[in-house]
Amino acid sequence: MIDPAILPDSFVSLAMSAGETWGGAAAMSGLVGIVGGGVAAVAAWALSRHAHRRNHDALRRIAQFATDRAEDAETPRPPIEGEYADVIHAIERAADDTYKRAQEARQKSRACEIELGLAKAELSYLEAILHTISDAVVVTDAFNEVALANPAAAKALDFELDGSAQQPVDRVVRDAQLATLIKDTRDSGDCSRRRRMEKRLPTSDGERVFDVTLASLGDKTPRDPDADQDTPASTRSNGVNGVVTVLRDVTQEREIAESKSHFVSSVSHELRTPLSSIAAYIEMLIDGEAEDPESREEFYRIIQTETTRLARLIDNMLNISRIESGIVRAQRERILLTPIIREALDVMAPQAEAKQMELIDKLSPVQDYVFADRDMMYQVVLNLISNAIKYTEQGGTVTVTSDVDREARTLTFQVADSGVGIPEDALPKLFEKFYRVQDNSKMANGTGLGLNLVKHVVENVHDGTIRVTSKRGEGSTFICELPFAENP
Amino acid sequence: MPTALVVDDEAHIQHVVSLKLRHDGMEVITASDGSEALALAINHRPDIIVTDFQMPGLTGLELSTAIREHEELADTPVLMLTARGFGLTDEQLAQSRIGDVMTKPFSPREMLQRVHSLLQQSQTSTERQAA
Repeated sequence: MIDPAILPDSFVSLAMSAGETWGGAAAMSGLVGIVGGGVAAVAAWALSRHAHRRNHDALRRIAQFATDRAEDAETPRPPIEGEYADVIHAIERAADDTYKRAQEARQKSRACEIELGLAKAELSYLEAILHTISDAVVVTDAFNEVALANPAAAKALDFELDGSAQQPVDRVVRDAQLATLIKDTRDSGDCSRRRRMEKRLPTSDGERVFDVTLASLGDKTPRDPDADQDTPASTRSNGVNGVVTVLRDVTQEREIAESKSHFVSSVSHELRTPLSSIAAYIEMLIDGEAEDPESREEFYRIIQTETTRLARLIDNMLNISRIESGIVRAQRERILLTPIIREALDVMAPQAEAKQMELIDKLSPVQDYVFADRDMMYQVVLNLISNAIKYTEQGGTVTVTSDVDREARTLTFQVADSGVGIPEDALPKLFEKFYRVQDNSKMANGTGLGLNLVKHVVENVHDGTIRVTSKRGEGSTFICELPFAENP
Repeated sequence: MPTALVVDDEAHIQHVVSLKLRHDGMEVITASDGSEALALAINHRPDIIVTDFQMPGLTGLELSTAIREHEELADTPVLMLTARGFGLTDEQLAQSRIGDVMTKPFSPREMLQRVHSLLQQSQTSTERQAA
């Protein structure tokens, strides 16, 4: 409580002068007509003093009341009597009422502030969640303006995230078909059904395939007020209207599916070819088409060759799968690589001869040991030489060179051909499983597994490296580098 | 005696198909790829072509399309053998005027029957045209 003595001077003096004037006026009107002269003057003075005192008390009480209210303190209210009691009570009631309303308003405002704070926190929480989602998400409102979007959406749909909010959807989503679909979904207002489509969009990472899902947030279907209680909340309209559009990048899945389907068709072709020979020659034998013993022997030999081929193909596929899954155990030992390369050259000689090609042996006379699995390295060399023959035109050359680097303690061998070469854009994908150079695939059959196997064996099993240099129309060189085997 | 052109890059398949047709009394010429086959077809005008689908140079489809550009080969029936289980549409086959398709592994016995029926159809249509 505040002592009236320290109330601002101006306030007290104003109250006093008001009381004086008011008291004086009352005395004048009450007594002038009844008594006159000095008595009257004395009585008037006395009365005036009394009235002045009461006015002063009343004003003090109101001032105190106002001060306490301003400070949210309760003012003790001793009973008040006299002619101003009613006025004071009326003022106090009005003030109480105003105070109550002001307090209510303050409370409401505080509640609103809290709610706003919570809403803001919730929004930034939602935005933070939205930003971590790798799928592209765009939320549009009832006016088809962007309400929320995440960085993935900005990337997929190629727009600036900052400043995208409250922009018309067709200004942000530049793909006309998608923008129209978002608007249609909002107009339908049917949130029971999701719309899905596959969309190819140009992005900074090239063309990507997206699985697009659109869900409406609102429900425009008229509601039955009686049934509403029983309707699950999820299907009830929540007064929100808008559309959530989610774009999932499925480019990789599509590529994998495509390469798998290509692999299956490729493998089925590779398996069917030897199987066809086996089946056909057996039928010929049954039908007695091999009349003499020489013919019969030839047929049996063909069946045997094709069976071996079939088995090798299956082995190749299984080897890759085993190496990939880490099941295969390499039996590494100190071996010389040159005899293995010479063996492969001998095996491939008939194929080279059939294409009038020259196989050139430029293997280093210096022999060094590598710590390797003999069979696996043989497969590597055979694969590289076989590829070189396959992708070189008739009359070309294949040169096998080896070299040792004593300082680096490595042995390098390379298989160079004078063939068709590999397009530059195909080089990074060359060692990928199932990958085949499209331009060259007509030259020879293949599963797209050979070079993948080579890379696995050289790099994962033998800690070596394999790389390729190539020029279209001039040929390719595959360079394999293996570490020396240390002396035991 | 009808002449057959047998085209396959797989030597063993080419051999067995040729043998089956020769044993039936047909004259057989062989090619190992599509381009060689086209040149042989133009020079020898075979009565029927039995070809693989996937091979170096031209595919079986491309070969069948290419021969139609030569008037004398326009009606030559083509039987295609393919190791591809799927991927060829009826439309593609009709466009290239492939008379019949067999999936590998195939039966040489059945192959011979189909060659006979293609030759029969071809002969009937030639007779009808002549009449």
